[in-house]
Amino acid sequence: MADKRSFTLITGRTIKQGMASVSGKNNQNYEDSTAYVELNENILEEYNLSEGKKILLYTDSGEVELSCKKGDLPEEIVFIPYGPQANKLIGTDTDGTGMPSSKGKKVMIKRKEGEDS
Amino acid sequence: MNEESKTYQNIICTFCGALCDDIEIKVKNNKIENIKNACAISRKKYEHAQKDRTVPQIKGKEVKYNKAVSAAAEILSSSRNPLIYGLSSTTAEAQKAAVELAEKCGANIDSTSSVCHGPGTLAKQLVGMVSATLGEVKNRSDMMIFWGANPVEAHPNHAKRYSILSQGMYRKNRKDREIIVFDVRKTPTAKLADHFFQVKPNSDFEILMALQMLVSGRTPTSEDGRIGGIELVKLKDLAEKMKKVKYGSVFYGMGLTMSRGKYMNTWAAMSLVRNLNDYGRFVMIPMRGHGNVAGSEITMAWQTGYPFAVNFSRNYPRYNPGEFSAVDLLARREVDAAFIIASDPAASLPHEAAEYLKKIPTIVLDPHWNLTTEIADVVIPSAVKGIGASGTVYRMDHVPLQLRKFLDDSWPDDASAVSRIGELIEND
Repeated sequence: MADKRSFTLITGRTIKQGMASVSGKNNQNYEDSTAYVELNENILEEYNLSEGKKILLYTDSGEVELSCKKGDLPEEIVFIPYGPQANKLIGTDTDGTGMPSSKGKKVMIKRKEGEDS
Repeated sequence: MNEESKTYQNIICTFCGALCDDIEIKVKNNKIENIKNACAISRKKYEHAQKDRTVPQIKGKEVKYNKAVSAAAEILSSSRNPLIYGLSSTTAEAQKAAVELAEKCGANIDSTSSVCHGPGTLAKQLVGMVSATLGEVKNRSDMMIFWGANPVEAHPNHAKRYSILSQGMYRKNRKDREIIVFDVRKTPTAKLADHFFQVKPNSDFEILMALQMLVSGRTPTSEDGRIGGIELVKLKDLAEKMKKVKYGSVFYGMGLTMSRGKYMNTWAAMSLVRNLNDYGRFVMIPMRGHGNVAGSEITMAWQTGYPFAVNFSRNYPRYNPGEFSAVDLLARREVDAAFIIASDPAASLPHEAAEYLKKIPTIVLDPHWNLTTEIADVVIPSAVKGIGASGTVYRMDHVPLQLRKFLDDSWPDDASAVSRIGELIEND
């Protein structure tokens, strides 16, 4: 399932991401704590997804495939912990400030073909 | 030789800008045996401190320490436009040495501040910021507002030591404070609040401007009765409350600095806080992420006059975020070498900017392996700050604290390594 519907990407800190980031960046825990996306429960249902299933996220700056988790979020927001996976979706335009738009970026999601719900 | 264990009190954790200084560490045979008072992240940091340590490397091959330092000096001296970046997890002494090095090799120098609270600093330069120490806020603040900040997950002991749950002199406990959270999502911090205002993404500026109008007695118009997703009537109530409190405080995070508007969001918040001082006392404190990122701005400002994004190509410091900031320099491929100090841009910068580091000679100075050491041409190990190395760090409220070394480390500290590279360049 793919449509033109867009969401708002918020990247941010989580306690597990923080704990993993100081426990070795090449550790599997760091990858596990940064390589997923949280979505509202209704959106998971709408896209026929269950937790752990992979989806493709894409912005005007890049794309990334991540597994889904249910999050306490408004329907229009998707959340990815800070890290190298989230940064594949963040562009380098800083509006002349030095700061990329790491929160509030428009993102699209696409259900991966062949992913059973 | 089996030594007696020794306990060190009041050790400072350097993970986040809260710089908790009540950590108790038991040491035996130069190893950490027990940790007390640390938050979940800090505990992991101490447990990992002596593991996963870098060794001197050139192009993936282990070399003598001095050879790696010399290779770094050669890269920087032969570069036409190098970038020195990171600095937020090192000491003020190393930051000062890095500025001196930048001057010697005509480099750009930028800290991770440009991708965290840099926009807030731009706003401070425009409008100023009424601020205070964390101690003052803990003792006196009867209304605490967290705006786009989630300390429960990013600064886990902040609530207990300085804010929501702290035991202050005049505000003794949670009941003595009204806690308000503005955020786009219901974070764990929002769940501790008395009032949670859910912000429509990228609408912080509108809400802050509406609050400014309401505080000054004017009412903004809204067709649907909402501003930035929040009912106007609720903002009106809040504005009245803000005028009545004795001591309000705003802790702000990346929700303001990374969202649309960036420095204008913080400008609006700082202007609102300034105006609220017509009624009672109101202050703002940025929730600084890395342990000494506040120090990177302070040291750079003390050394060059500017807080980050500084360029020395004309032998005098020039400041221009957007031009001399790391993301922009890397994305535009304007730098031809990079020296990364105590930071991991391969994990934390936008992918395209981080990828460019693979195309230019990159030096990393860090005690631990990370994603940037993986792509570095030269890796220089260093002693772990606050554990195997002493030095000065600045808390998020700009209070300087002195780190005490309590373990022997195999490697010199960051300041020694950076100074040595500078000496080699100077004597070349």
